[in-house]
Amino acid sequence: MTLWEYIASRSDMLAFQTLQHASMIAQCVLIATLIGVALGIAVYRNERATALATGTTSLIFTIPSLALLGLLVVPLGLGVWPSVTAITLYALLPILRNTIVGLTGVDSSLVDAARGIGMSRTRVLTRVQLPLAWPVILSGVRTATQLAMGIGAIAAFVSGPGLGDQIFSGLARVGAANALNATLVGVIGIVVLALIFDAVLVLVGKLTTSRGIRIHA
Amino acid sequence: MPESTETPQSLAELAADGERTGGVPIELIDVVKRFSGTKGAAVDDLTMTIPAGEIVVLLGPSGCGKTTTMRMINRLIEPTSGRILIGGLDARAQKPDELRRHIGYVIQQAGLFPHLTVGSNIAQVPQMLGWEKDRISARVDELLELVGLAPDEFRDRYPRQLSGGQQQRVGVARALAADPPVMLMDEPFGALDPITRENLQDELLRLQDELSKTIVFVTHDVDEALKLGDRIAILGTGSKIVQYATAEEILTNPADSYVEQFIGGESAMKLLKLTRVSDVALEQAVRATEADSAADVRRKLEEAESDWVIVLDAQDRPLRWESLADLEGATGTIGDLTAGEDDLFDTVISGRATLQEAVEALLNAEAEVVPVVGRRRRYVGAVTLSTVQQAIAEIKERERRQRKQRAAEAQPGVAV
Amino acid sequence: MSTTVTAPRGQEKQQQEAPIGSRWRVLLTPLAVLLVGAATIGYTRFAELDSTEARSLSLGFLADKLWEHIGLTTISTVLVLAIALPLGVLVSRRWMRWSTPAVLGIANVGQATPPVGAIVLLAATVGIGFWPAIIALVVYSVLPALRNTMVGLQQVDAALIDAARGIGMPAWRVLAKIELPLAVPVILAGIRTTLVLNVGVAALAGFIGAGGLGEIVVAGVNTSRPVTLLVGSILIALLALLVDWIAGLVTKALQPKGL
Repeated sequence: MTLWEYIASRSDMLAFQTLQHASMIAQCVLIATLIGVALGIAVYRNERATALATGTTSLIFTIPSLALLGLLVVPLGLGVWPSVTAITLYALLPILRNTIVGLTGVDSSLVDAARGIGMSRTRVLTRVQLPLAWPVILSGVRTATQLAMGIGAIAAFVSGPGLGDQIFSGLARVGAANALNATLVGVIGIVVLALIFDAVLVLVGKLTTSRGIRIHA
Repeated sequence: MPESTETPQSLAELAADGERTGGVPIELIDVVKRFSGTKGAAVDDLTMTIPAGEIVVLLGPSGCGKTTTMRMINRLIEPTSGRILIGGLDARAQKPDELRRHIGYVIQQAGLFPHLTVGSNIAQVPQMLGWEKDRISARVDELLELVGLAPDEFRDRYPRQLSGGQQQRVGVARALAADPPVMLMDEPFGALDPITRENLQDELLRLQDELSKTIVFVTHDVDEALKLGDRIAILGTGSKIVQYATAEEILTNPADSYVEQFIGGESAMKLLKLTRVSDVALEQAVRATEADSAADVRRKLEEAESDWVIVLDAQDRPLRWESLADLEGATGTIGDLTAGEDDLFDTVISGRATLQEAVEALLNAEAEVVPVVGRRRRYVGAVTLSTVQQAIAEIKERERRQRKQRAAEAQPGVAV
Repeated sequence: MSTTVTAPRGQEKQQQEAPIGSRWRVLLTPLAVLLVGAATIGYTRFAELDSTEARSLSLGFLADKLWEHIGLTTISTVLVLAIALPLGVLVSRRWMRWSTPAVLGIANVGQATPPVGAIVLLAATVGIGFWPAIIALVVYSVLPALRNTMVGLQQVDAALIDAARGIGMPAWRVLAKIELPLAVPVILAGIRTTLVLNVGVAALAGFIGAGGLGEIVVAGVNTSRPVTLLVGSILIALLALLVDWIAGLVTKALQPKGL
């Protein structure tokens, strides 16, 4: 059976798994972005809090995905929850770090100027700091998405959703007829999804970044 | 070029000829540089001669090709066509790396290697030339002294532990490491604050007095060019020479409106800045010492039809003025006179000061005359406002004469 | 010598060692790793285990798997560096600059490939076992390492390279004396990332019977033994943290002075 025949014979299931994978990653990254940016805003002004937050997230980041999944399975059981938790946790670090870097990287004279013309702290944050830090934050989101895609593949090991299932069913049947096809479909599907997501994020960046910043970038 | 039985084949041999190498001339002949993908030439058929031992400034707006021109001399950029002779030798006939080791190179912000100590930065070229360790470390210390940095304090520091001005001093030391006959300086002081810049410019002039290298200096700062350049080449787009002349000539006789616009107004004020007090004809007051008898001095004053006498000590250093009125009826020596308040100097200026500084001193001083001192504070003359006025008039007159002379010889002169 | 200047005072302070307070913190990671590790192993000694658990949690078996894991990680990392460093230098040469976008593009696609996919693909084509796992590990982490080397070399200030060439350094000397030393911080950071990444990917080698601590996790899931799963996961996590800590110390020690 060729790869095309394999895909054709299981197109419904593959389409479902692809969508499932995409939706899982999108949701996890969205949650991680909300948490990461909020956390970044909360800690970036305080050196200790920043050190604590980045220290903790990079500790999680250092733990290999298989180990983290294994640790999460014990309290959360098999299935969707450990996968979603692990992916969100991993996606957190690049987003948090870039939020902090982006916010502290905003020229302090601009913040000064904004305060000087009477903007409140919140307004300075929403009108000046966040828009200027946005490209940096977004590049963190891109990294996080790439990462989440790969880890999503391992999720199938703990019975999580998505295209990882193809890879693991390939693994289970190594030597059998469709083992290579299943693995290939899983891998290629994830790579293609990753590239599509990245392209979408680049587009989002173009649409949401002020033209005034892009001129220099 | 030094005389030797065998003609040197490379700048390296040329440089190794003398104990201390002075400059050699550089000739650019029909030099053209085109970059691929750009319209028009960056350097469009440039011919110029840079005399040995002079500082020649390439002055022009950014993008005019002045840096490209300079970088072709040490072959960091290869000319599309044309020839470049350094000390009479074709640059292209020599290996680029070896050529560059004998051409000092100083760039903006110094370009020191941050992971190497100051000493190691300076030692790079001698190391490549295979000098012995002792010789290298002796040379490093010598150079640090030369650029005004205490070797013991600075040798083992890293560049980032130095201020911008100190870094550039090290940059100059590194360029001088193998005692090259030629130095290329690409806006070396451009990134420094004004005070540091002035200091380093003065240092460079002092070094040049001692070393007389051939220095090609690129800048877009007119004041820097006027201050440093023995000659200044004002360049337009495509590195076209609009005027190539001394600072005085450019100020008194700009070649065209482009030059005029480029050097800006206040050319007389700039001339003042350019001319040193020691270079103009000073007033000569009657001199006296403490031991001279007042009567003798009075006679001298009457002969000279002057009202004032300058009193000097045994080493010819000026002490104070005495007026004819003070001497009236005095019997003893000059030293016996009681000095009046107004006899004391509030200002003495050095012969190395510019006329601008002299005017400044005159305007601030109580007296109409300010004494000028040379080495070891020896009295050399005095300056008044009319001295300055006369000096400027003379410069203009001299330039006018030279222009006429050149026109009479029917030569285009240095201005192309 | 007209103006001998002294260095500004303020800058000398930066040379001083970090405050003593942060010194003991350096030892925090290994202490915590040792403590948790000892507690985990201790638990497997005293807890009541069934025969399946006992088999995969015996001291000898754990030591074997740990040793295999370290082997997988080290061999693959050494191979990755042997390929990525020279290749990165080569690709960054001026006459090879045209290839940079292509190499970075391939590296990006490579990063989007799930590591578990790479391992299973190798198993499906080459076979299962230690060496296919090594190949998968190398294939997976050679691209980020290559990219790091390239980025490290690219971020060297062009003015410094110009200065080096301007004082007559030949190309090889510019590389050895200027570019590589200045790229060291980025390259070292890249090696550290590679090493930690490889600890994680080596865990996945357990799926294709290549040994390593991953096998304990796989056994735990396949036999539905939470204790086995937990012990395997904890040991992998601790190994990764320890390797990261050691790499961090080495990175600091090898940092060129003056930067």
